[in-house]
Amino acid sequence: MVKTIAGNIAFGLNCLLLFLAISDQVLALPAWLQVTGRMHPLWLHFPIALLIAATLAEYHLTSQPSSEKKILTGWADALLLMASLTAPLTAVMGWFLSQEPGYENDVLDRHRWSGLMVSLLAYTWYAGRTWWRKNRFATWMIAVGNLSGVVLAGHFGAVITHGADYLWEPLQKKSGQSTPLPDSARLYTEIIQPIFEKKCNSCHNQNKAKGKLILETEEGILKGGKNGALWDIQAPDLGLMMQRIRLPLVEKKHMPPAGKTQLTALEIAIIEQWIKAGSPFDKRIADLEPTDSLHQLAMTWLKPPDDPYAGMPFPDPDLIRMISSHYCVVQPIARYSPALRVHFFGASHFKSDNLKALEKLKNQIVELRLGHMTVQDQDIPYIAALTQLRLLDLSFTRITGKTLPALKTLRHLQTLSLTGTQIHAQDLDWIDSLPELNAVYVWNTGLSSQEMEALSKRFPRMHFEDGFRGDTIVTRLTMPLFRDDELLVFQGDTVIELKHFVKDADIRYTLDGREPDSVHSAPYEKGVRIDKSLVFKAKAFLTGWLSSQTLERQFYKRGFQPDSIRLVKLPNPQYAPNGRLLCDGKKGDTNFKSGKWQGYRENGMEAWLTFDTAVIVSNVVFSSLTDIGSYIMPPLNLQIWGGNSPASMSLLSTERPAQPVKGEPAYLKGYECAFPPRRVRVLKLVATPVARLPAWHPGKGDRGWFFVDEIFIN
Amino acid sequence: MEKEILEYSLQINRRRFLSKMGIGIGSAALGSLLMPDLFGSRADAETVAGLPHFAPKAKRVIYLFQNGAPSQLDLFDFKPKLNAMQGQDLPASVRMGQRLTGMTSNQERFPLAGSVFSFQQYGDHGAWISELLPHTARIVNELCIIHSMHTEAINHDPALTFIQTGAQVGNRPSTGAWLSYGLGSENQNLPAFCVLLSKGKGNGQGVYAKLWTNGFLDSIHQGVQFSSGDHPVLYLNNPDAIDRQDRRKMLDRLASLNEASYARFGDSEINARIQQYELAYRMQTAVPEVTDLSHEPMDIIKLYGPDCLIPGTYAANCLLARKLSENGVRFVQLYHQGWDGHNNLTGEIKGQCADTDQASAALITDLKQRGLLDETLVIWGGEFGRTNYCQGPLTKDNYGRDHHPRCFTIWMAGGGIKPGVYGETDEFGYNIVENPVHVNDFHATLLHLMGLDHEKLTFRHLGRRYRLTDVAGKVVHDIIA
Repeated sequence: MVKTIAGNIAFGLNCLLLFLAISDQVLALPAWLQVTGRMHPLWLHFPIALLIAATLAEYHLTSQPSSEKKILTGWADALLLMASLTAPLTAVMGWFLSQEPGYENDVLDRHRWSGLMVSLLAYTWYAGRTWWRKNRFATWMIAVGNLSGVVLAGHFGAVITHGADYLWEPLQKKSGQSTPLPDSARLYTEIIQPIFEKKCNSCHNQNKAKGKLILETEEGILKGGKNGALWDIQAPDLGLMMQRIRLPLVEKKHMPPAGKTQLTALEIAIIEQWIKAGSPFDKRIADLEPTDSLHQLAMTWLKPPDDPYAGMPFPDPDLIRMISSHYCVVQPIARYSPALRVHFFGASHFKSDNLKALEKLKNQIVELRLGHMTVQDQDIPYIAALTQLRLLDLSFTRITGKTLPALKTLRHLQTLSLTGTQIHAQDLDWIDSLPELNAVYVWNTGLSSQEMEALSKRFPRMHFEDGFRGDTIVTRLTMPLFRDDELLVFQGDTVIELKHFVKDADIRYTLDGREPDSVHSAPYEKGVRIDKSLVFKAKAFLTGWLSSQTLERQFYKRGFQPDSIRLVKLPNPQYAPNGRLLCDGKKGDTNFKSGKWQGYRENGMEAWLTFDTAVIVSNVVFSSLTDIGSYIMPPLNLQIWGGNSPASMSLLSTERPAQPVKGEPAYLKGYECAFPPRRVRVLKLVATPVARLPAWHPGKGDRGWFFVDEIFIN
Repeated sequence: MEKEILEYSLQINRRRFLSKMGIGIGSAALGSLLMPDLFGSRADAETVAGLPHFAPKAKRVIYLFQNGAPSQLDLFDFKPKLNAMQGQDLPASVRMGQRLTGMTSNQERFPLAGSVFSFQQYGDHGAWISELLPHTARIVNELCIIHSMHTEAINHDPALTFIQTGAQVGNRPSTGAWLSYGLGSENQNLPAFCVLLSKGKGNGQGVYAKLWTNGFLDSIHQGVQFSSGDHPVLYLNNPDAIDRQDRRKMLDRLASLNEASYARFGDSEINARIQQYELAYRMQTAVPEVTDLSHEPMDIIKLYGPDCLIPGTYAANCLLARKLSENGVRFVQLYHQGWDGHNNLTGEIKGQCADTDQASAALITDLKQRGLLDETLVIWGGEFGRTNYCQGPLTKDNYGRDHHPRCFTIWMAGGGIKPGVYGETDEFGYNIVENPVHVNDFHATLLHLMGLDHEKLTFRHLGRRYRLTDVAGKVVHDIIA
């Protein structure tokens, strides 16, 4: 019973293993499975030992007389069963372990597949044990298969944990300090052959010479392959080898073939230049002119991968957590790097103490950005303590430059930004003592352009960024703006307030419709009080700038409110909101569909306004819209009638508003009808729309619209 | 008998075989349970740290989106052949029956229209730039001009949605949201993804919140629109009679309620909501600081042009974009409307360029003089290109151009980009002949520059993993420095 269950478990585990192998999915493991995975290096000893034991038992079994076989068979079965159970278990654990980061892919794959093979073989052995035993040879086959699987898987596993050279290293002859100085290196042995070794020789070696080409030896290279010599310096494309390398990847003949590690651009360039140079096998780099492109390529190739922060101690994560805040962000410059970048945000939250606290991370902070913070002269010593700094941004801070020389301690500083501060040229006298400094940002400071030039001459290794200078550029100033953009209609009186984004702009205004100028017009100071409907114009001036365009707006005073409004002629039903709309104090904009506008076309407008108590009126303003494209025009004429009762009306005023010209954009305008003061209880307002649109209009001859949103009576 | 002996020796018969199969299938099922579903998504584990997959070339992006599709043929992709063949029909061999929009597909003729604007070569790489972009011409040495962008959609909405979210249908996360998800915010006091809108006078196409949606990602990754009024972020200020302490108390109380309800329901959106309130609280002080332009030096005003002081203009948005980016905002997305030149292209494009050219170039110059261009990726471009043939009547000095998805020009600058001219279209400016860059490739490259592997930045939704590039996309290494 136990055996059956164990056998089934072994089978199940193998199936699971196969599934994992085939689906090749990335697993997300919970912690407890990770623990199981990490037990792989422990467990793997079981199948190894058990498989060896099982082999011994099988050997024993074949050599025993049949009388004793029964007991022995029981033992052998048990050993086989345990082996075939622990093998897939180990493999599954290994699979879990392999999901953790940091394992090399190539060897890992080999280890994985050989492990899987061992597991399957062990189970095959166990499941078919009676069959194998029938034939001695078969037993040996399966046993040897299993054991070699174990050796193979074990070896690849050891390569993962101990490294590829671990086993044979003691036997290899020590070559001493073998990295030669770049200059004395031979091009072929130090560069060309290693490239071939890495990218080509796996197929073009003495054992496996694909295309009959051997790249391992000088003779092989010179001999070429079945398609002949590798290069031809006379040919524009340098012959076969470069041809193959340069073919697109999709081409079958491209080398190295798709799927293999490709040559890098640098490697290709080196090979090409080397062939061009006559493929010298003996030449040393020192023999080449330093300006030679092959020399430069070779030096680039030999340069050790530079990690400026190698050897830097890793920071204490708790410390980082303690110092970091929403306003002081401390972060590694890249994943797995000890070096830190610190960025301050939010000037209103900046405190010197934040800066002081950074000292604890002085061995790791390489970048400090303090732009726009309220850093002052007395904070500089805190920065001077951060001796690993490469980049320091003090732009737009409050420093004056007096304490800057304290930064002499920043031996690694490369970039220093002082943009937008109060520093002067003499504050920079010391910067030559920073050996690595190569960029200084000094625009928008106390430095004149001559001083900046002098600095560049004095410290030629540094770049002084002088920024964009606008002094010579003359552009137009922007218009002043109304502080209250909604203000159009007022009662009694009001104050017009303006603003301008350029602080020093000089704003002039007029109230009589004339264009403001910088001499005669009133200067705007705090606000302009008005108490009647008028056109307000304002303009901004500033030396060094062209004057702004004119800001213009008509303001309406809201005087008497009629007690009733009767529309004798109704507006077009589409734009027929009720009569009260004409005196609700709400102006419409250029959108005639907004519901604030009444639109008249066929009938024209006739509205009767009555007042319960008589009022003295001298001025009526029609606020209207003109939008040529939508056929909305100023009225042809306007009439104001008034009297004490509907029976006793007399014509008070007639106006013929000016019509727009072709192409004028939509505009809002108030048409004022003024007349001598008159005591009235009833007003009749008549507006006649344009009967025929002018000849230049796309709808010439058609009727025009008249749109009105508000009537102001004063 | 033979069969029984064999069965015995193999210890297998039909019943045992079937029962074993059962175990096998069961084990496979166990294996499938081990897959990410059960134990949460690996994508989360990869991205939750907010650190890039590998050392990034760029830390932040500013995307100057030219909404409506600017005409590459009048700005960057100089095709004298079109002028030589002015008014002649587009050869069928060039068009090869490729689809057209409904707006021109029923035109009887497709008269070629050469640009009325003059071109000149600028910079180290001899890039052709039209007279409409004098400021851009001045900074051309910083730009990588890509002539070979192409997309799949032929109308605005799907094309916009595609280039913003990697899919033509809506509700996928926008690029900025992906970056917010993948890298988080540098500055915890501002949203990682900010959106700025402006409008030119040319024929416009809409922009709408779907373009900066978080899609299926947590709503904390949604783009936050900054508007042009006195309140750049709506509803951010405290109402009258509520001060900052009151607000703090209210938020603390609200957070405890939300936490209780999170403990009960475990809905991650509740957590997102708590975070959003906290972010908004911090934004109350951070936003006024960032959006205050009053301390900008006069040189900067002149650099961007005085329009930059008028909120809501493209120039103002460029300046604000720089300020946001400088303050650690991961992705600033601008949209400038008005490039959809179907009819009066020559007139409209002048205005559009006047509105955008100086400020776009200024942004590059400004970032550079602050030492920020190296770590900021700036992208300029629309959703597709415009046709080489005229839509509507072709006159001597005016024409219209229809939508053209088969090639268009964008430029990229800064963060890890190799300046130059990349890709080539045929002499008609209709098809790409060299180095095509698909929208998916563009996204893959963008993520790569930010240190993210576009195949690893995934999110599990509705039973499968999604990527910005979904199932396609190749990093264009040629344009990376």
